[in-house]
Amino acid sequence: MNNIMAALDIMWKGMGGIFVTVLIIMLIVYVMGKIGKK
Amino acid sequence: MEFLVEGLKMLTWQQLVMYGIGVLLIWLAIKKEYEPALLLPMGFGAILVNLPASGVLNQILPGVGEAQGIIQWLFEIGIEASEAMPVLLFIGIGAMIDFGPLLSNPKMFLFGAGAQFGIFAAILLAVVLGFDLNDAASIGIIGAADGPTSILVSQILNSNYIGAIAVAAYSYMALVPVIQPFAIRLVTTKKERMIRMDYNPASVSKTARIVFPIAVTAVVGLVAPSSVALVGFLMFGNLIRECGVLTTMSETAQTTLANLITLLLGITISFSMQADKFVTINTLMIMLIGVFAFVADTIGGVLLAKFINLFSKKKINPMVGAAGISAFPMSSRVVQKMAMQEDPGNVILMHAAGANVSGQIASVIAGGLVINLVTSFLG
Repeated sequence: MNNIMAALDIMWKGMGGIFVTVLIIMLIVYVMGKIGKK
Repeated sequence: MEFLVEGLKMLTWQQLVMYGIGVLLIWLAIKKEYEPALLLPMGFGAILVNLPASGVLNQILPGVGEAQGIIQWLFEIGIEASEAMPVLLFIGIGAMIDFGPLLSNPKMFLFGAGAQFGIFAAILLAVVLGFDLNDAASIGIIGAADGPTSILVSQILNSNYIGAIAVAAYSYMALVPVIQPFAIRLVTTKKERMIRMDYNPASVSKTARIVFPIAVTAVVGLVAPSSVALVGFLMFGNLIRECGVLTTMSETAQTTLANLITLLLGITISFSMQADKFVTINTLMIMLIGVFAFVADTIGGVLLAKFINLFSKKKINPMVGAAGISAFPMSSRVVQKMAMQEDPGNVILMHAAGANVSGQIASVIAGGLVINLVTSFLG
């Protein structure tokens, strides 16, 4: 049961971590795009 | 003359099974052209390491002592010591990737993230089936649809099943044209698959192409330090490609380096395909969990696209979400082919390509996070 709870914890933290990282990268790409246009 | 049949007398039925598996992998590589660069060396290596008292493995020779075997040595140096082979291969992979379709359409990044869902779903399934957490995580990473990431994570987590995981990862990457259409049709309607998307890419400056790999390395490295080797070398390869002043080096990375490492990696991985570790019920379970991971990846990406469509005026073809897995460029081509089957003239390839390359980055992030999270539980 402990391992199942651990796997669920890893799932939400893992997916959350991936999305947060991707959103940061998207923000950087957006800013680079804006700077490039100026 | 008994010494001539000593080898035969040591043969086990499990080793015979491995000869069959080796021949099957070679057949899949040659006849079906399923990832031949990996499956052929793995198949041949599986035969080499399973010959009784094989000289490619370390052996204790009477009166002489230990004789080192080349495949075991390659494994200890190239994989066990610092995961050198998969990491070096990433230089070549990074040099091959054009992030242009992604940089000009950054929304596609989201699907690279969504399509990693299968990794975590597979970890959960593996745990429910009784695998230890480190083995479950290593098995789950098959869902990253990336051979080097799978090998690196399973090696760092000290999994007992590296061989089965590597075979599953590479086999299923080759089977994307079979697995993904099945999974996509489970969760989409024909109408959804016929959605057309405009392609109005933003221009991407050379500066952006150069800054991107550096920025990604920094961000991902700070979030998931265990992924620095993978993401760093991937982005290093990409930087070599995009800088514009290292053309010869870029070509070398994409061709000679990538081919050399791939050649050695395949035969080296066969070290973990020794019969006593490979011919077990767990290997079969790993193969099944691996399919589940790929299906769950595909469904995760598609459902994310459908979710975004609830709030978006410009609808996204949900199949683009499926292209967020790391199997580049296979997945984007599969999605385009399905789109054309439903609606000839529907071109969504560039959107799918953007999602597909984002999957490469997201899978590396996933690998690093899995290592961090699992080791914090085990510690």
